[in-house]
Amino acid sequence: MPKKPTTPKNVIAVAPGQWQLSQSAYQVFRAERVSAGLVMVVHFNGADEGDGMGAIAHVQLPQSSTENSGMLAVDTALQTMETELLALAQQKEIAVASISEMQVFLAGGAQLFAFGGGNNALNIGSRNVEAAHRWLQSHHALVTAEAVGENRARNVEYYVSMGQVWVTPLGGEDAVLAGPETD
Amino acid sequence: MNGLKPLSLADLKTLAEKMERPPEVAIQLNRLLHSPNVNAEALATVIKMDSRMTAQVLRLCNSAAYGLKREITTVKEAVAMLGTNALVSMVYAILAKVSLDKDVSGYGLEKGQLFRNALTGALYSRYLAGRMRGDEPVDGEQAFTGAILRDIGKVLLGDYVGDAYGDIEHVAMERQISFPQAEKEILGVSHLEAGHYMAKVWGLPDMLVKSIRYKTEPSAMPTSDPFRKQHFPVVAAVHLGDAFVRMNGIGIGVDGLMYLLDEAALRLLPESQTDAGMEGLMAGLIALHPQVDDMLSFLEKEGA
Repeated sequence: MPKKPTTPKNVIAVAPGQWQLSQSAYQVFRAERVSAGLVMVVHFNGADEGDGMGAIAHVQLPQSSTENSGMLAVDTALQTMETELLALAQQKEIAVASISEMQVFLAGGAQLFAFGGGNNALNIGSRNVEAAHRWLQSHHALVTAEAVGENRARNVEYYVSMGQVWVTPLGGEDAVLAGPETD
Repeated sequence: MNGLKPLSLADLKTLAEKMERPPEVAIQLNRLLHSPNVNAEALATVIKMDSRMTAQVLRLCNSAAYGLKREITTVKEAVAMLGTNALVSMVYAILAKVSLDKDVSGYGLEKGQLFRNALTGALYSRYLAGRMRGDEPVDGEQAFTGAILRDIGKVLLGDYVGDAYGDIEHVAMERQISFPQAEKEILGVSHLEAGHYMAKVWGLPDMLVKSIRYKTEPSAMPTSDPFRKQHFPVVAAVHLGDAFVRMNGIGIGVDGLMYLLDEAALRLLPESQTDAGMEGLMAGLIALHPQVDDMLSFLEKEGA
C-alpha cells in the first residue's frame, strides 16, 4: 500500500453540511471525525495529473425531505456535485456527460453499538450509506471504493491530483481508497 | 493484554490532586444551590464575589451566543433576564473550560476537542430536554449543566487509556460492550467512575455527580436512590445529548461510537422512533453548531 502523504498546511477543511469543488488539481481537502455522517467524493481523472478535478461533501442526513436539510443531505449533495462538476468539465473542455463516468468514494456511516430495541431510525450511519448507493444506482453510477460502517470516527483527506482518498479511523491505521489506475 | 496494573483508589486520589480545583465562586454557588434560600439576589451576590467571573458573565450575556435584545449591565439583571438556572449553566460553561480545555491525547483528543465536545453535548442535551415527553417537563438548564462536565474523568484517565487503548478497544469490539465497561475491565476503573470520584471531591451538586456517573446508562441509577425518579429525565437528556454528539462526530476521540443506547431514556424522546423524526432531530441539533462556535470563540477571546 502507498504511504499516506503528509497533510499540507493549506489543507481545506470540510465541516458537516459543507461541500467544496476543486479549483485546482493540487488542492487537498480534509473532513475530521466523520462519524454517522458521510463524506462523499466525486472525482474525475484528467489526461495528466494537473487535469484532475473533483468535489467533496460532508453530509449528515440520508434525504433532503427534512426542513432546512440543504447540503446536509446525501441526495442534494450528490446532485449539486454532479451539476457543478459537469459545468467545470465544460469550462475545461473535458468530455464527460454524467456522474456515471466519474469515480465516487464514500467514507463514514459509523454507528453506535446496537441495543435491545433494534430501532433502525437511530442507525442513521447505515441509512446515509444506503441513500448514497440508491441515488448513484438511479443515476447509473457505482461506488468506486468505500470505508463505511463500524463504530469509529474517521479522518478523511482527498488529494485531487492523485485521485486518492485517505481514510484514518481514530485509533486505527491509514487506508487509501483509490480508482483502478492507482497502485 | 499488556499487563497494566489496575488503578486503585490511591491512584485516583493522586490523579485528582493534580487537577485544578474549581474557584471559590463555584464552591459557593454549589452551596447556594443546595440551600432552600436560592434566589436571584443571593445568586448575584455570590457571582459578584469574583470580579473576573462577573465580567465574563456580563460579556457572555451580551455576546451573540445569547442574542439578547438589550445590553445587560449587572449580574442581577442577567439573573432576571436569563433565570437562575441559565446563569448557573453559563458559570459552569466558563468553569468547564478551565478543566476540559486540555490535550487528552490518550483519547485521541487534541487541545480544544474535549471542551468542544462538552459544550456541544450541553447544548444538545438542553435542546433534547425540551423535546422529551415524560410525566413532568425536563429542565433544559439542568440538562446543560449536567452535560458540560460529563467527561471530566477522561482528563484523569487520559494517559492510562493511551497505554491500554488496544486492549480496551479489543474487549469492547469483541463483546460489544461499551468503551467505559471495557475500560473498567482493563484499567480497573472507567472514566465515568473517575469523573464521579472527581465530582465528589469537588463537592459538585448531586445532579451533576449522577450525570457524570450514569451518562452512558441512566437506567443503571440505583432503584434505591430516593431521587431517582426526579433525576432520571435530566440524566437521560445528558445521555441522549452525548449519543447525538458521537453520531455527529463533534470532538469525539478513539472511543468513537463504542457505546450503547439506553432504551428507557430513548422512550422519553418520541421523535427518535421514526426515520423522519430522527432526521428532524439531527437537523435541529446541527443548527445549534453556530451557537457552539459563538460561545467557543467568546470564551477563547476571554481567555476563560
